[in-house]
Amino acid sequence: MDILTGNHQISVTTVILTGRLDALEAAPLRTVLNEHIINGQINIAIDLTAVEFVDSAGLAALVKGMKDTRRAGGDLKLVAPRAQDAVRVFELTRFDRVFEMATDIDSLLADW
Amino acid sequence: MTKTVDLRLDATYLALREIGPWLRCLFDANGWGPDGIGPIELAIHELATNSVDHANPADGVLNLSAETNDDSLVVLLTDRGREFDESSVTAPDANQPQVRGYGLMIIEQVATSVSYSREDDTNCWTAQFPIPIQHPST
Repeated sequence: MDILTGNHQISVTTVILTGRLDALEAAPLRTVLNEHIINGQINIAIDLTAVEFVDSAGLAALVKGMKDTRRAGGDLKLVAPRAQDAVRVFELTRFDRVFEMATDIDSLLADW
Repeated sequence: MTKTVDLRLDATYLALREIGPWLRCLFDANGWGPDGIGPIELAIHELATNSVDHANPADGVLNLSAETNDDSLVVLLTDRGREFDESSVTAPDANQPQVRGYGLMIIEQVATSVSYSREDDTNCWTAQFPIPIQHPST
């Protein structure tokens, strides 16, 4: 019997957001995520640490990215925002239980 | 004593960012302190975003009016856009994450009540919030 072992390093694209992720910023985020996925970058880590506010349109851009990456065989995971005004929309829609979230980028990448 | 404070907004996503500062002024004027602004800002933001997205008023204007008294904050949002079609709203399914449709779900959790009426050519949304502010359970 032959036993072969190997290490597979997954390539993860990191996207860092700051400021407000609202209806105004959702469209450019969708464009960026779509470009990554088209280019084969199907594992995406989005760092929301410094995001101040998220609304349902911003959430929708993240959900679409998650669905598109998973459909392509990858995933989209989040570093949780620190501001309560950004966390709120995830809690009210229960998406804090749908997205895989970490408290910092290093632990998110380490557990990928 | 009842007080009313109005805000006229362009029906654009950028203009919706004026809702937060408007609410902070309202809270300051009533001596309520900043706690509790966040959920209400999100709820009103969602109402106004729905107007921009779906009503798309021809005059490009949204009107917000806040009425405060001892135990409630009542916000009226009006626009002269397309009539709201309730049948177009699909309730989100927790087991099947969807991309859109969470705005009303958020508003209904934060507000004590939310109602819609069509008066002549105007959409009228009324949302009531309790004072003191109660944080929605999550």
